[in-house]
Amino acid sequence: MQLQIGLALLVATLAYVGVGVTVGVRLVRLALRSGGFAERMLGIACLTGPGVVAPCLVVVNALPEPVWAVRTSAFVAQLGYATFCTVMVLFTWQCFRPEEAWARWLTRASIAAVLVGASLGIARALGLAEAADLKDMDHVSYRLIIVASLVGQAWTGLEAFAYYVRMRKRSRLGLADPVVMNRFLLWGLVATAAMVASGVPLGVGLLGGDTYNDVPSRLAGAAATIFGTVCLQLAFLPPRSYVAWLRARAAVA
Amino acid sequence: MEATDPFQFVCDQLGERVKLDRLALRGAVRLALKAAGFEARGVQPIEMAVVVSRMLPKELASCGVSDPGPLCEKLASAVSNLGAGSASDSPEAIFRRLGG
Repeated sequence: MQLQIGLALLVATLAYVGVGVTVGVRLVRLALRSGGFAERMLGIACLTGPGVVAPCLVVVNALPEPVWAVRTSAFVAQLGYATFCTVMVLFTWQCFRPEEAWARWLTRASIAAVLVGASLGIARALGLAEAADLKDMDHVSYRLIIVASLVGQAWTGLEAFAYYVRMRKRSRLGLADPVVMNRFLLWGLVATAAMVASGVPLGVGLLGGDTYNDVPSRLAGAAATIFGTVCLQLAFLPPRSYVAWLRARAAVA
Repeated sequence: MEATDPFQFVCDQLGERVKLDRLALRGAVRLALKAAGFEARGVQPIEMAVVVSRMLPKELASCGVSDPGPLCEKLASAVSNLGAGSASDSPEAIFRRLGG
């Protein structure tokens, strides 16, 4: 059973990395043309989250040695995770609440927590902990970053779903593009899937469970990762048939 | 054409034509905008015109304004001729851009 779950997780991770990096490259290229802050932040998030953190964590968890490779991967994973969480929360703040004081403070607090967690993790990767202990996702350094990222993802999801509701109201008056409206829904679902994928193992760990061998937790992680990957693809790299289907459905409604 | 705040424009125009308390009048326009999924800040003239034409009559009627339909149609026509402001930083504009 563990082998099948391990394979499911591997397939989910590979799909997440492939789609994430493809979307990230497209958004960074878009940012180079437009100079837009939002596409720059989201592009960096897609390149660092799926492109850097996921492969590095696979190395840290799967390889016992060479030690230098484990330490380097753990170091890069911490840097990447901190960058990912930072640009994600900056995107949500600047996109949805650029002028609200509470959003500015929430962003600052989130980034501060991420920096503290990442600094601890980097210190461990550079020698404060044994190489074999670096895969311990229940360590406080990881937990701090995961909690900060959960707060950011919850905020992102709520903002996206709330804006989707507003877009639905606009669509009844013919004032919303159905593809853009659907993109808000998909982005909210991406955030929700990310919350499940990182929140369930955290919850299991906090309740004293075995994060690595708990079957429901691993299955939930794999399912959420695949679901989030599909939503990410449909949001930012939708197939023409999907766009045509959305437009046809809106025309009938 | 110079960009004018569509919300302010509609409130000013209504204030000249309707015998209604200023706060109640602005509240009615805000409720119409909310029902259509917009906020006073950032709404574009063409969007405001649709809101004024389709949603505002109901809100004005509930405030006791009799037969608000023709007034709202005139107002919608006027507001649609305003110069459009910048909407490049709205979440909708950002998500449209992100689609490529």
